[in-house]
Amino acid sequence: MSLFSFCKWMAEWTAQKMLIPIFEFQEGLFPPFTNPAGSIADWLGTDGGITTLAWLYAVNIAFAVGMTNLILVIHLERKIAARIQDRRGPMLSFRSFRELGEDLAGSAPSWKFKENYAGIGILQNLADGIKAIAKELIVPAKADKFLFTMGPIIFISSSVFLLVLFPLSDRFAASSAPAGLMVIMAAFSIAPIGVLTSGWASNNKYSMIGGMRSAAQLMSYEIPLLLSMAGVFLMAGSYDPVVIVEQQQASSWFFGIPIWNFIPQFIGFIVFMICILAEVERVPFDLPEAEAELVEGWTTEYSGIRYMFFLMAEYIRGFAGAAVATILFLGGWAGPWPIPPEIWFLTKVYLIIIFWIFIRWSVPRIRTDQILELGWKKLLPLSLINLLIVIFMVEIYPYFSEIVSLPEVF
Amino acid sequence: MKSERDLGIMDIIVNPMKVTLKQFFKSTFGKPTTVMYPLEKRAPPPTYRGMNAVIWDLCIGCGICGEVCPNKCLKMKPVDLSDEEQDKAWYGSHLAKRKSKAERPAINFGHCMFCGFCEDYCPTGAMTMTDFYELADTTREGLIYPARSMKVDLEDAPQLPLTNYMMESPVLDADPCIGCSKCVDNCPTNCIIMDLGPQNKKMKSGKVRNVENPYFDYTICIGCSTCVKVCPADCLHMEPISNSSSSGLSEEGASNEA
Amino acid sequence: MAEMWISMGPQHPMTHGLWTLKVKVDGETIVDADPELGYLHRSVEKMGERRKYFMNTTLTDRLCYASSTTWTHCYVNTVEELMKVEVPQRAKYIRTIMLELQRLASHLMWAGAYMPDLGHITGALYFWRDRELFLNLLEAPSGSRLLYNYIRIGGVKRDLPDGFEAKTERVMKLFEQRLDEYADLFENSKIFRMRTEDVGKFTASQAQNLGITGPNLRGCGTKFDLRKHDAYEIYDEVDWDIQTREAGPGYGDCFSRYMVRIDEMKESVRIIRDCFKKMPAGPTLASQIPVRAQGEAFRRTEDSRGEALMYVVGDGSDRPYRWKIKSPMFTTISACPHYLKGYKVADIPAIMGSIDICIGETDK
Repeated sequence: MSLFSFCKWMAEWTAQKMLIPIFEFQEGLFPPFTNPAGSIADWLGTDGGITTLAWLYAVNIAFAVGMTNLILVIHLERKIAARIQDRRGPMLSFRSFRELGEDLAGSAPSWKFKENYAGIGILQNLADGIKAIAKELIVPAKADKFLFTMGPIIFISSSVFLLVLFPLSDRFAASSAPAGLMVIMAAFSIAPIGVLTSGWASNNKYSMIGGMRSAAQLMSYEIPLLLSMAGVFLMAGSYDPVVIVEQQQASSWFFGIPIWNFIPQFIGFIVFMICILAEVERVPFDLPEAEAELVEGWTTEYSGIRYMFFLMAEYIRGFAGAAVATILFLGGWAGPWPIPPEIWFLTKVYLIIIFWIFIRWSVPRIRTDQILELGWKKLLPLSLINLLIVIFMVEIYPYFSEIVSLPEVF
Repeated sequence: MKSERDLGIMDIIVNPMKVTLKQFFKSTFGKPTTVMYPLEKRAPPPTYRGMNAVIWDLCIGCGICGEVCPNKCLKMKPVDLSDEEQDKAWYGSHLAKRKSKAERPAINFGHCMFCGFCEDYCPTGAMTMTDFYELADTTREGLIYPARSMKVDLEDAPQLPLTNYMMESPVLDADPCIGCSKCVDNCPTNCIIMDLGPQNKKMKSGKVRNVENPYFDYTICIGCSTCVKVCPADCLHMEPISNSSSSGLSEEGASNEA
Repeated sequence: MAEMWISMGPQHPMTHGLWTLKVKVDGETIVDADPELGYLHRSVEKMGERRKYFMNTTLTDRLCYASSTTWTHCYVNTVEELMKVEVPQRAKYIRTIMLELQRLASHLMWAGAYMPDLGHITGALYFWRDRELFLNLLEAPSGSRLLYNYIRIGGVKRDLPDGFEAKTERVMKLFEQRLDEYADLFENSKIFRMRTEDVGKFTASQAQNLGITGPNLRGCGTKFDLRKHDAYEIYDEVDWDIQTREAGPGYGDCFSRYMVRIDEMKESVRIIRDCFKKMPAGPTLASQIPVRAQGEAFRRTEDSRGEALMYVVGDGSDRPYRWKIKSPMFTTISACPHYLKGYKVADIPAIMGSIDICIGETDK
């Protein structure tokens, strides 16, 4: 049963049992306020109403799953960074509160932190959220107020949009567009507009330089990124994630072990990983928000929940980027049977994210000119070479093998 | 020494990541270096310079601690000693007899920078610094610690020989001395006695009188210069120990701190 | 993009203290730079003229919070020359040990502060973790973790505690092991090299003309160290070499400056080991320490950041009549337009971090 059919079943059930009776009751109570175009209860009875409701459920489920993963990713980043740096990281969790409360109530006043109050620190996210919401939203006096407000909204909305676009498996998908990955990359490339907007509207030199850097970086890395993706699209012959994963699973080399795309397209995989790292602006490519020289770059003037939006959106983009990499090169949700495909997919995504976290805390930041040089002079030719190899594999070799009967390698 | 090698492709990410990965496993399965501060504290060394404490019985109220305090955050405040405290006081017993009120140091920790000079220059070893460092307060007034609050009672406080860490001692310029014996009254160590001096003094009435002059016992003089300060005729001044006429100081005592 | 002035500081992560660096940028390229000081001026010299000679060690401690012992030592050395005090031999050895421990702590503080400038937070925590070990060592005899007030006129405050040598040896062994381990993370890391090599270059002759001293000068290949050339304490009795490094013939960059400091830390460990080997027994404080002084004295020492220089005039009272401090960082920061021009905005933290700024001693 796919996610959508589950949602449809749920929509039917809720419409029949809950929504239609409620709306009918309400319309019976207040006849003057009845919708002249027809009652909502009637609309919910139709097929279109049920489908709309089902979409609503599906999108919400995908959103909830994505946000849960976001919290986990942030927590993972904190804890792994702490372990790398010989620290403890956040320690406060619900357990700490309960035991602290018990102790303060007088049942067992012992102050041994290690045994009693140390949790895994999941509450730190809650504390940060409360802090961000409680803070004042400062708008600089000479800022362009409309664009200043719009910047974070564009950034966060385009990022949250990403969450519902990629499937966790062929059954767990909120959207199943044939051009799925193209839509994802389109959503990815909305973000530079928000960055440029907020960088310019802040009326701050640091922000402007940060915004310009970010725009330059995102735009110049989009080209090798899409070129390296093009190889996968050529092999699968589709933009649909489901088709791409099936193609990877279908291509077997020996002993029936599927060859995922990262082996035949190794160059493309490397180029894609570097580019997606630059696309989600993580170390060593986080120079738009270089805290040492640009004081967090284009987010300098933002405070409170708006700043939080930027941080959240970055992690969402990171998660989405890892998911795209998994779909394209690591076989998506494919894996041995007993473990469900959703778990396989998340495992691969988290492995990539953990790898990124390790990179982030292991290397310094690259300079602007160096990053652009890397993008234009190294990654672009490499991605073109990768594309040529794929074309050779997919088009030229089969063409000649038909004529001169070459062994079937690819 | 110059050992950096030619860098390869592994040095971009893989080799740096080896170091962090090693540390990751080390601190995941071992104990991290950090200390959970409010509940788990690191032990300061015995020499630690924390909040001051005054061993009450050893303090003679000389005021040297206030003299050497670079920030002038330490002031001598009069305290009423109880009879028991007076009995136990070392040199304080005779000081309490002569002075109406004994003096003990009070500290404004808002100005204190814990340099430790008061501890080092204390001639009796009464001023000590504990390993207590959590002195933060919500008000500025809360940082002013009155003399009584620094009191510490030690059962067997070692009574060390008085040491002149100031490296100076008072010298009498006998001519203007009027023999008022204020220096004797105020000397915390009772090292001054009044005796007949060499010169005669002509009084206002026209009578010529032989004036008593102070004589110093430099073995127990601590160089606090209280006598110089209270002298109404400005007839005393401080001189380095080696220049003083009869320096009774042992050189070892000056160089080795207790 | 048109040329514009960007003001970095006084509250900016690059500055490492309160000062302003105004840079004129053309796009991302630096066209001009203008350092501004004076935010942290505490008039230490004037304050010192109102305090007795021995009290001023508390002020010199606070000249540079990262390297307080070296500054106190410079002052104490000057006053000892003024008062003509003979320091016991053991005190000289203890002083040398403390100075080198302080140099290690200061260089580690610098290395830790330099890493976030390059975007490497882990490096900061690694180096500061090691600095804690040396702070523990400095704390054991002096009783304080940051502002030690340990070196006194005529000697040191107290003798080293029991077991200090074994403890120091343990820490130094661990530290050397860790430095080797860090090589892969820092000097052998490609991205670290990309950020530091060929950045912030100045030649040795340029550095000498601009008055740049210390590790920054030795990073250009010039073999000049006051511990050898104007030896004080017992630096001429122990075994050690001046560490130099150059990026090319006669010039240095950020990486060579980084490596000079790393090599100097290893050399400091060598000095401390040798000191413990040769240390005699005896008193640690001179028996006769005058309180008043007349005349004038002048002394220069090798601070962790360069040539520290002090000049004291006494008029016969117990307070200095005039006290002048020359800080190495003041000249180095003043010369920053010379080595900032032509680089990118992203290089500013990398360059300014590599010269090891301490504003406390610069502004005094």
